[in-house]
Amino acid sequence: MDENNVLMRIQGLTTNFHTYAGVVHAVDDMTLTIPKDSVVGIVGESGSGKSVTMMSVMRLIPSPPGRIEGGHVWFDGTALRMPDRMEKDGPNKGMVDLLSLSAEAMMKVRGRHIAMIFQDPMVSLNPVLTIGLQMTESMVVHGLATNKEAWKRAVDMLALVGIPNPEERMRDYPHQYSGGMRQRVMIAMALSCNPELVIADEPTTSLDVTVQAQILELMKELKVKLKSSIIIISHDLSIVAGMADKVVVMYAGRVLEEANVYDLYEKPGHPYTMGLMKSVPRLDAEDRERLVPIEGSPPDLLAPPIGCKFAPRCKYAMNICREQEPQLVTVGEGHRARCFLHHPTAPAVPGFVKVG
Amino acid sequence: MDTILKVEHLKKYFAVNVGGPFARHMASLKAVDDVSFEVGRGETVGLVGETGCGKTTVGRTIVGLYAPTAGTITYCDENLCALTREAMRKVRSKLQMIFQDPYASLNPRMTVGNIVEEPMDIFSIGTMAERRERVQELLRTVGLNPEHINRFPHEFSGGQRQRIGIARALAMNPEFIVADEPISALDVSIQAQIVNMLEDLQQNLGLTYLFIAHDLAMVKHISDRVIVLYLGKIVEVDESKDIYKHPLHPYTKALLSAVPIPDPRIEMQRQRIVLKGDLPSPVNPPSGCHFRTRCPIAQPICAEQEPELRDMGSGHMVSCHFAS
Repeated sequence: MDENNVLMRIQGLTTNFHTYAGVVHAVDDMTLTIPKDSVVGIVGESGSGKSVTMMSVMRLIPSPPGRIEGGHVWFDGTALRMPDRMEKDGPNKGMVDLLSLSAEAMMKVRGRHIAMIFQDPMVSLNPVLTIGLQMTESMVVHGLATNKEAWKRAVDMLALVGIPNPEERMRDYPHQYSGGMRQRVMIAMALSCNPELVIADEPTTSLDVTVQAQILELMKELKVKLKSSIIIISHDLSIVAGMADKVVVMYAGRVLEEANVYDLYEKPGHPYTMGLMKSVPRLDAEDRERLVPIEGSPPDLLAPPIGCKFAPRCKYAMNICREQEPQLVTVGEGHRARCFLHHPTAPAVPGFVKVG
Repeated sequence: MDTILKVEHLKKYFAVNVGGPFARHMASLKAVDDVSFEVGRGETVGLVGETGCGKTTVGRTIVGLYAPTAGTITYCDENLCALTREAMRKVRSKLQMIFQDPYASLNPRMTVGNIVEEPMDIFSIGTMAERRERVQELLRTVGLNPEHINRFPHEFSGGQRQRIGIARALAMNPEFIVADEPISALDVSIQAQIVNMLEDLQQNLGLTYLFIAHDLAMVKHISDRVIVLYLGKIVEVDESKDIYKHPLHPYTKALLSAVPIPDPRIEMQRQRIVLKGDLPSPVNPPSGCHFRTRCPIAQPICAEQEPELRDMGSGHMVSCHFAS
């Protein structure tokens, strides 16, 4: 990948939660690159660390109990307009480490450069403030517009996301909006400051399937119109399929696989990814085939298994998988997987494209 | 196929206050409005629709958790709506329910053994030792370790809790199970485990399912027939393998096209029928066809006349003026 084309690079990010029962390793040595003008999907079950990763990037981890123990989150310094904080040289030249910023400097990043769309629009809007006030707040706080200008721009944004009579609806309160409408407001709000990166954390999970289709279509449309990169977090492989350029599969706080969207669905390089695909029924399936579930349940992060975190549920687990944790290995262009099956001496597995 | 359950002209209205917090003005919310269908023995019927379409209300009315406003529910030639409390209690042991949220449907203060045993307690079946043995057998049936009989629900994961809920539903050897979104609270990799188990149980125990869900792909997978509900009314009924290929009602078409498919090559170029707007309020549904406000092919007749549920041949029913 072109080095100048990187918007954000997460490097070795580790976030732990110190609880009474022990230390929960929610995110462990996470590495991820977000190119400019791209859509990256992060897929994983609950507890896989996908939301904690993004909360760490935003520096919104409640502390205590949470603590970012290590790593860097490099963000394009030119976009941030923080020349004095940029790396002078090295591989991250021109990037700013978000984790090194003061709380004050971070406030200038949130909402302005990185915006977030939360899962549940029912609880993420303030019920006692009008939509207009909430829409304009971030623009005014970041000094991008006066109250009047911000109001005008907010009306335009509401129209853009398909809210009828935006002028009147600006004076309404969140309870006067339906679930789908609120999610549209959340999207408009996130985009109002023209951020370089939008993080959508399960944006459609709490919505009905027809409304979900509306929101996904809207996001696809906006992706073409606006010049933001989007990270879309989901537990559903099929939601990511239609939107993302690149998909990252997370499990137990780790990246298990990373590939461009076509490679991931056509030649998955990790048994977990393969398992996820076989365990969901497809609407376009001809016959009623029996589903192939992934047996067992996700590991307890207080006491994760030694070796590969997926080994206890893996059909193809070998002895080494229970002793040593595999590294992410390159299995194709931009395609990396964390699995010993790619090792030259590993046995061949049907349906698994081995490179090694 | 012999019919095990027959629902005729079922209506369930709830009284709601629409006058605001300080005024009293009651209106009726028509959760289920004139729904009729049959379920054959050993069949799995899927009930799908969006939030607020009345699918859960239909399920709850069948097992007797709600009293219907009008209509009849006939189970094995007995009209459930006309039964006395005592007679209903007996029938209900054959009619069980699996609930959506395994975190809310198990009493946190009871052990797993007591939760699963409770139905047998209520019906005074067997001695205490026999009941315990039956509980252990049930736990084995649903894939749990019988030694965990004295644990509490919080010691189990979501998938395991749903298994406990299923064991409880099986305790009375039921014939008919209403499964109300049994998998939607579970993780993707766990959903398939539970669905496969439900299929195995059906084979081994000869169960009949009414499977309520909003996930169309899963409903298509598990059901023999699918009933699509919209604002308390049936819009389409068909064999599950046919409804995907030949949906007739515009709502069914939109619903099917809204389901994402886990294949980027298909998904990136798919033309979606995207419905505009949201579900209208069931307190004040649109006149004529309930779907007309969001329907892409609505005509003036749709506002004036309510379409009948017509049989299009071989059990394919649809309620639309323009379906052919």
